[in-house]
Amino acid sequence: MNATNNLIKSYTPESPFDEFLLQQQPKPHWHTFIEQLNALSPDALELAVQTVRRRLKENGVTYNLHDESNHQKRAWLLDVIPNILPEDAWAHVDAGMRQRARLLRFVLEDCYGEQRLIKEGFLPPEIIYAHRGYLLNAACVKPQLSLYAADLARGTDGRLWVVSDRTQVPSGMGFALENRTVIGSVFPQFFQAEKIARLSPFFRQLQTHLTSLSPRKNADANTVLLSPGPNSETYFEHAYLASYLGYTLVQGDDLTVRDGTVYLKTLEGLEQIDVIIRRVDDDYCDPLELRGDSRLGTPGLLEAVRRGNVVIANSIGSSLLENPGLMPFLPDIAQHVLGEALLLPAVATWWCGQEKERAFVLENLPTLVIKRVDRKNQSQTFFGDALSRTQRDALRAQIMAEPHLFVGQEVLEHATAPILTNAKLEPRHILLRSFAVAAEDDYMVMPGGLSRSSATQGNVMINNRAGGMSKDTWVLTREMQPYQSLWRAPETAANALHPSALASRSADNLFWTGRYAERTESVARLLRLIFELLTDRETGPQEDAVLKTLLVALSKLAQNPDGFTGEDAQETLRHPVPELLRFSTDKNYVGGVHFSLSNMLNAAFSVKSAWSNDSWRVLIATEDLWQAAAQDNASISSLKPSLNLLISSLMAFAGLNSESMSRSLGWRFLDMGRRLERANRITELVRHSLGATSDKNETNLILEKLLTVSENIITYRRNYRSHLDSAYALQLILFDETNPRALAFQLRRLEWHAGLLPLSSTRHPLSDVEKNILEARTLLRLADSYQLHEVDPKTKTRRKLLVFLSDMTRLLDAYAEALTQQYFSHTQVSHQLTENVSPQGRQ
Amino acid sequence: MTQALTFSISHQTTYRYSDPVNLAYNEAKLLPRSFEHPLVSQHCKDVTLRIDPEPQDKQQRTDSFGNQVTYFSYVSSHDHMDVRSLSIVTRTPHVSKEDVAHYLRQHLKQPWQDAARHYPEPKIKQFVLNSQLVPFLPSLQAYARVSFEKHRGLFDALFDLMTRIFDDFTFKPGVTTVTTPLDEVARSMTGVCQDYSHFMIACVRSMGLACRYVSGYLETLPPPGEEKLQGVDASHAWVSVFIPGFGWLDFDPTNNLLPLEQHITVAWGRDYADVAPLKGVVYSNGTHDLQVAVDMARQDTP
Repeated sequence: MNATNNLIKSYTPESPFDEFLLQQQPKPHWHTFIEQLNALSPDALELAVQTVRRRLKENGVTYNLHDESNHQKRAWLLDVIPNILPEDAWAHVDAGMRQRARLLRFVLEDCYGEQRLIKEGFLPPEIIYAHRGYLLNAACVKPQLSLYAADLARGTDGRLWVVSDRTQVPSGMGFALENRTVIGSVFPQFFQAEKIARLSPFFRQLQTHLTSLSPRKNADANTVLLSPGPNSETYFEHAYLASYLGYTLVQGDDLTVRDGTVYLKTLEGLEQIDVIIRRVDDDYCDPLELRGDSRLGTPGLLEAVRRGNVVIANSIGSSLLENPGLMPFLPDIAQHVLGEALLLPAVATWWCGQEKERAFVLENLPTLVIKRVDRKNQSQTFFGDALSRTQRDALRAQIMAEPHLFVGQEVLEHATAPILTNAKLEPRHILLRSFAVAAEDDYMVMPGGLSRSSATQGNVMINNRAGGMSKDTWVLTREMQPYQSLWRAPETAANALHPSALASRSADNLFWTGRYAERTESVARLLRLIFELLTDRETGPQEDAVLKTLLVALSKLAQNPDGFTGEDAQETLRHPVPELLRFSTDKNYVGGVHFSLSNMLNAAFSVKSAWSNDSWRVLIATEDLWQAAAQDNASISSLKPSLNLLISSLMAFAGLNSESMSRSLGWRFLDMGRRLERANRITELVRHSLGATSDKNETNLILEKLLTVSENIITYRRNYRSHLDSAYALQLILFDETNPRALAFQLRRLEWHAGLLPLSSTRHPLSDVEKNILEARTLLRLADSYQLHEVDPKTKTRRKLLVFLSDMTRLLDAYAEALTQQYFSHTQVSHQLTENVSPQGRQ
Repeated sequence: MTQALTFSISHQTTYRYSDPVNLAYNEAKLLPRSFEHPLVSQHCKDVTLRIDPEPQDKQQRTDSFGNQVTYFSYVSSHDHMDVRSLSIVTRTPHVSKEDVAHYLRQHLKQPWQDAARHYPEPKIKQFVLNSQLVPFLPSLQAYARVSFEKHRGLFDALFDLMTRIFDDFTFKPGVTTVTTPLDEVARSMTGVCQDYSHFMIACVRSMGLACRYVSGYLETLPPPGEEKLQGVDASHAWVSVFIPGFGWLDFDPTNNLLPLEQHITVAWGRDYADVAPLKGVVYSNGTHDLQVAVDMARQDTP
C-alpha cells in the first residue's frame, strides 16, 4: 500500500472545478507527478516535508509582519505539492498576460502623456486624477512598465480570472524562484521525470531589459535594487534577488544626487548609477518632491529622472495602474488601442463614479467586495457579507460622499487545489501571481509564478498576512530550454578586474556585526562565569565580594547603568537572579545578551551577500538557539548550556569569517569592528577588576576570574605556572602582542587596517583614523607595566593604571568616530525645510 | 475708472544654519507668471531668482500647471541660504473695483447647478476632486449648502460663501502652520489666508465646482499719513473658481474681495502643497532659523 493512493482517496475537492482531480481521478497532466510521489514511502514523504521546511529556514526565507509596536518574522511555508499547469492552457495565460501588460503600458504612457483616453472618453478623468498614484511631478518623462504582475484566480468554470494588477513594485518573483530552488533540491527526481519550464530565462530577460534602459547605453550599466530596508515585509526577497541578479542592494540614503545624476556612496567615493530597480513605494522615493516625511528615498531623484540621467523600473507614478477602477474600462480600451478583445477575463467590477454602476453596487452591497481605487492597505477591502448592518451603512455613506473612489467587485467562485498538510491532502483556494518582464515591444512571461493558498479551508482571503502556504508552480513543456547561466561575460578585461566597490552602508553593517559579535561574546562569557559562581560557589564573604565585583563589571560591560550599578543596585546585588535573567532573555535590555545578539544579527542580515553559505547557516542557527533559550520561564540552569552553545556558535562564526572571507575591504571593516570592541572590553574589564585593590585572597580570586573571562587563563598558566600575580596578568592582557586576547594585539591590527583603507594617506598628514591609532599604540608601548601596577597609598587605587585606561578609551572612541565620519556618511540626518511661516496677507 | 498698477517686488527668504550644511536640495516656486484675463491681466518683466551662495546645480522647469519651478542643490558647505525673487509686475484691471461685483452679477447669472454639471475639460476636472491638503469633509459641504440654494446664480452663491467665511473666521497668525489639517481649521475657524483658502476650496469643491489655490502677494497700505515700512508686505493666498464660459475667477476670502490690481499672482495649483514657495531637504545635525521679507513698491506704470 503506498502513501499516494491513500492521499488521493482521502481528498475531496470542494469546488466543481479542481486543479488535480476530475471525477475522483488525477487529471492527465498530474500523472507523472503522481507516479513520482507513489515511489515515496510515507516516511520518505514526511522526511521531504521536513527537509523543505528546514531548507527554507536555513536560507532565511521569511516574510516580515508588522504591527504597532514591533515586527516579527514569519517563516515562509512551502507546500510540496506543486501547482501544475499543462502547456496548452499555459499558452493562453502567456498570451493574455503579455496582452494585458502591453495594454497597461499604453494606459500608463497615455495618462502621463497626451491623456487621449480621457479626452476621447475612454476613461473618466476621476479614475486618474483622484488616484493617489497619479503623481503630477512624474509627468515629464516617458514612464517605464518594466515589470508587471497580475493575481490570477481559477473560477469554478475552469478559467483563470484577473483579480488585481500589480504595476508598481511587484513582489513575489524572488519567492517563486526560491520555491523552485528548494523543491528542485528536495525532489530532483521530479525534474528528471518531467519537462518543467525553467525560470532562469525570465530573469535573464530582466537583466537584458534593465541593461537596455541605461541612459549611458553602456553594456556594463550600473544597476542597483532599491529596498526600504530590513524592516520591509519582503526584505528577504530584495536581498535574494539582488544577489541572484548581481545587483547591489541599496537603501535610499546609500544614494545621492549630484548635478542631476544618481550616485552610490561607496568607500572609494561616488559611483554613478544608471538603472534603479525599485521596491520602495512611489511616494516615498523622493522627499524633496513627493512625501516630505519619507526616510526611504533620495532627495533629487525625480530631478535626475527628469534629466534622463537615471531610469527607474518601474517608473515613479506607475502605481496609478494598481487601480481596480480601470478594470471595467479596459475591454473597450483594448479594442480601441490594440484592436483585440482581452484574452484574460477580469473579475466583474463596477466603478461607483458612474450612476448606474453606483446604484448597482449600493443595492448589492452584501454580496460584493468593495475596494478603494487606490490600495494603501488591506483594511480598505470590505467583504460585503462580513459587514454588520452599521458597518454597511457607514460604508454606504462613504461611497455616496466620494463615489469615484470606490468599486464593487464580484466575489469569484474559486476552484480548489490540494495542499499537503498534516500528512493528508486538503482542498484550498489558490491564487497565482504571474509575472511579465518587458522584452522590446512585447513582454516575456515567467513560465510559472508564485502560487499561494488560503490559510484555511473555504477561505477566500489569500495574502501573506493571513498566512497560508505557497506552492512551486510548474508549467509543463514539450521542449526543454537549455540551461542558461545568469553570469554575464565581462565586456572588457578591465571590467573583469574591477571588483565592485563596497557600499558605505555595507561597510557600516559589517563593522557593527563585528562590534556586536564581540560584545555578545564578552557579556556571554562573563555571564557564564557569574552563573557558575551562583550555582557552584562555596559561600563566603570573599566569594560574595567577587560576585558583586563581577555583577558590577557586567553592567559596565553592557554599558547599561541600570542593573547592578544604578540607584537600585543594592537590591539587585542582593538578589541578582531576576535581573540576570532579564539581562539574558529580554531583547530590549540594553547591552544584554539578547539585545546584543539581535543587533549583531540585524547588522549581519543587512549584508547577506557578505556571508558564505556556512556562515549564513551559523547565523540562522544562532538566532534560533537564543530564541529558544530566551523563554519567559528560563532559569539559570536552563540558560547555562545555552550560553555554552551560544559562545561556541559565535566562535564558529568568527572562525568562518577568518577562514572563508577574502581579505577584502568588507572583511577589514568586520575585523576592525571586532578588534575595536575587544580592545574596549579588555580596557573595561581591567579597569573594574584591577583599578582598585583589596586583600590578597580576594584579589587573587578576581584575577583568576579576569583571566578566565578574557579567555587568558590557559595562556597564563602556561606562561607563569601557578604563580598568580596581577603584574604578570597585566603584562599578558595588555602588552603581549602575540596574544590575540591582549590589548596590544588588537591595537596592532587596528593600525594595520587603518593604513590600508581607501583614502588613507601614505604620506603626511595622516588620516584621523591613523592618527588616533598611532597615538594609542604609542601610549601602550611607552607604558611600563610595573608603574601601572603601583598602588597609590592614599586612595588605595592604581591611579596610573586608571589614567592610562581612560586615555586608551578616549583614543579608541576617537578612532571609531573618525572611521564613522570618514566612511559611513549616514551620520547626518536629513531635515525638511518648510516655510513654517504661512502666508498671511490681510489688508 | 481703471488704472494699471506696476510694482517692483522683492521676496526674500533667508535660512541660517546653526551647523554648516554640506548637502541640500531645494525647490522654489517664486517666479510670478504672466496671463491675460477678462477682469485683470498680469505682465511680468525682469523676473530673476538670486540665490546666495551660488548653488552647484540649478535647473528651471515649468510644472503641469504652468508655474515656474527652480530646482537647485548644494554639495558643499554653507551656513546660510538666501533666496531672493525679484520682478516688475504690472496688473491691468479691465473693470473697476467699484463695478466688478455688479459686472459679474450681470454676466454670471446662470444657476450654479448648471456650472457644476458642465466641465468638458479634464484638466479642469482635477480641481473638482479632493487634493492632499483639501480632503472632502461633510461638515464643509453642509456649511457650503447654505450659500448654494437651489437655482441661485453662481456668482451670488460664491460671493455669499466668501463673505460668510470672512465673517465666521477669526484672522490670527501663529495659531496654524502649513501642516495644520483642514478639519482642525474647520473646527476652530481660526487661521491665516492659507486656512481661509483651503476652507473655501473644500466648500466650493463639495458643490461639484472646480476650485484652485492661488499663491501670490497683496499690497498693504499704511494708515493714512504714515510712511510705508519695508518688509511688511506678505505672501498671500486666495482661491480661483472655474466658471464655464467665463474662465477662472479669483476670490479672496481673507479680505472678502475680488482680487484686482493690488493682488499679484505667483503660482496656482490644487492646494498649498502644489505651490509651496520654497521647500527643501538639508543634511545637518543642527537647527535652522528662517526669515522672510516681502516688499512691494509701486512704480510708475510705463
